[in-house]
Amino acid sequence: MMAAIPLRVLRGEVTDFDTDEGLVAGLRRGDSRAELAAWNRFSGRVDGTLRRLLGPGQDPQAREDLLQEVFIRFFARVGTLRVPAAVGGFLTGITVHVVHGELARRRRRSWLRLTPTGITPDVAGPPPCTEAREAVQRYYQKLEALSPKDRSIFVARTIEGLTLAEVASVHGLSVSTAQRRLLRATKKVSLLVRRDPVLAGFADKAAAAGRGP
Amino acid sequence: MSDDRPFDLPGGPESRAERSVRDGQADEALVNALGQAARAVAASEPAGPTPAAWHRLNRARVQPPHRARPLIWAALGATACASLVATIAVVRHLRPPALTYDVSGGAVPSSGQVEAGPLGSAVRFSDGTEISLAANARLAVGAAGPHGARLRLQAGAAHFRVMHLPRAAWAVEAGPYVVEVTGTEFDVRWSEREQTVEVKMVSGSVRVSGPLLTERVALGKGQHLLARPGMGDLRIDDGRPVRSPGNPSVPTPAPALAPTPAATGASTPPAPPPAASPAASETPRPAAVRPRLRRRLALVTPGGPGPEPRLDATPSATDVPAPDAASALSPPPLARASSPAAPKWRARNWPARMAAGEGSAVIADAEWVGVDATMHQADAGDLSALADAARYAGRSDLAERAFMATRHRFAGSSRAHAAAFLLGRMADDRGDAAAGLRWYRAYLAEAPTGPYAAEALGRQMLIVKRSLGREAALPIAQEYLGRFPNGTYLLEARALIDNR
Repeated sequence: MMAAIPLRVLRGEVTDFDTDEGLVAGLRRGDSRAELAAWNRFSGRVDGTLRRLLGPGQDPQAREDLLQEVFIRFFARVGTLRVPAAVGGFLTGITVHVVHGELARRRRRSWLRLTPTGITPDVAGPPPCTEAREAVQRYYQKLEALSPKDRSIFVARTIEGLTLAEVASVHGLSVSTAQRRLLRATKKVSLLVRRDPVLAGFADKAAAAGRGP
Repeated sequence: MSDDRPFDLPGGPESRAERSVRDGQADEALVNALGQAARAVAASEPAGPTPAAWHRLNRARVQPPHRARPLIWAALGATACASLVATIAVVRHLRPPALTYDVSGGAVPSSGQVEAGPLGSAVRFSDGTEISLAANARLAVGAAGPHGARLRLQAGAAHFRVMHLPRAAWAVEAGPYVVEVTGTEFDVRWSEREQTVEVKMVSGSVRVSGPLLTERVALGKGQHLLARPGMGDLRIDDGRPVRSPGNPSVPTPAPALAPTPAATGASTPPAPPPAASPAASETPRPAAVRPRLRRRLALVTPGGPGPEPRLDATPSATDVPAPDAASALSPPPLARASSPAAPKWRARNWPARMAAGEGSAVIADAEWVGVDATMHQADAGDLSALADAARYAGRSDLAERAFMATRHRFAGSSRAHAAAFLLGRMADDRGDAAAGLRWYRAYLAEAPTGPYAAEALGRQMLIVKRSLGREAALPIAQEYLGRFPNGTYLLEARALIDNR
């Protein structure tokens, strides 16, 4: 007769990173599996946000650097997140901040006549093949006329689609101030768009169709 | 504020913002279309980082952060410091010195303090500005800069002759009022015991701000302001004694600031039969109160202009016809509650609490006392403060009750006049143009030179333009331009006249 093997109940670890609460708890513990789960879950979304905030035609390597920066800050600051359910918005806020800093840095470098690497950049690639792509590229060029913060507010609201309250929170402003700056940026951008026949024509067509391209 | 749209436009009086709203909507449609295109283009690109990115991220996390080259920042810092030092040196060199002053005929007990003797004294500034202090007046000179100074008339009267120089900026404080000056001649009197401020203009113009004035009021040549903030009384008139040719002791009626039937197409409501007024035989009052007296005497002028609404301190029910569509020229009805002998009201100091920003506490206190009791018993100052607190808190029902109570219980006072304007503005802002128009006209009839006269006439012009068309608004625009050539509705008035 075989001797009975005593069974032990092992206390398992929390491995459910599918929920916001579980994921944030894991990140706060420094669990590397939670970090990988966060990357798998959010990296695509953050990359999309970066595309929209930066515009088309960006160097993929530069965008990946920003993606890394976003996650490094996220992992470092997740301990300050009070409401785990708000982890998505928390990450979006970090992304907006990183892009804002990057654009300000680029502006400073252009003022100093420096490139990010110190090397003369290659000539830009071939122009976009579709009307929409060209129009969007021109649109982002117009946005360069805004200050980095105004551009960040404008893009976060009109392209990224954040609510006004989220835009204000991310940029550390009151809602009324954010709205005022948004209106100012909108007026300026609209004026610049209307002065560009190609862009104005595309926008009118798109607005008349009631949809994008 | 809605989050349904990509962004929102601020609210505001439609009348003043029609064009900007239309432009804003066009801008909104434009950036919406382009934003949608940008999202579509971003979505069409290959999405998501490559798996190798995760491994590069982990490598980056263990590497020390990249530091900017310190040499560049050091050079930048040095350049910035040098620029700052140079700028400060240039500004100091170019900035003119602060004004100085001499005092004759008075004592200077401490720096910046001037006490006039029994024969008065004179203060002369280095830019040519002169101040003549009346006997025993006291003046404090503070914050003298290169282009002006901030003066405080602590007691008595003074005559100011401020040189009109480029960038001149002077301010005279008298009690709770501030007179802002760029170059002009005027008298100021402040009595702490009577809590009375008087400003009499000799030439030029000044701007006055203080209690009972929600915004700065411009006083022009010859105008006179008398304020007793403690009594809730503030009057502005032209300061000139006007005598009747027949009886020099009786002031002549003021020209009627009558509503213009042509402008509205509505008929003037019938006026009550003229009643003999004892005021007709009164000794003329001081200039400060003359406008109100003149209006009252206009009722008993034989052969005077026919129907004219009665505007004295005790209006009857016939003064305020029902607000039907045909009575657009008349003020809205006043609540004619019976007025039993009200118990004595213990002053609750609400004006001071409002000034301290405690509007919600004022409303809470009124509700604790009882809103009905407050409406029947509160003194003018408390009632007015409650109306303001309710207005700022968005409690328009409570604000309207308080304003109506003010008009009913303190009829004829400057607070009651102001209540008419504010009731009109509330009605106008909520889209009730007819009620707004009646209240504005009521205010203009009661206080034709009141602090809100320009605003009331301008708003009246816009309502008439909207509701009855340009032609109807034309006479009001002409009147506005004549009376307020630098008013805030100048452009609208000009546009009306030029585009007829």
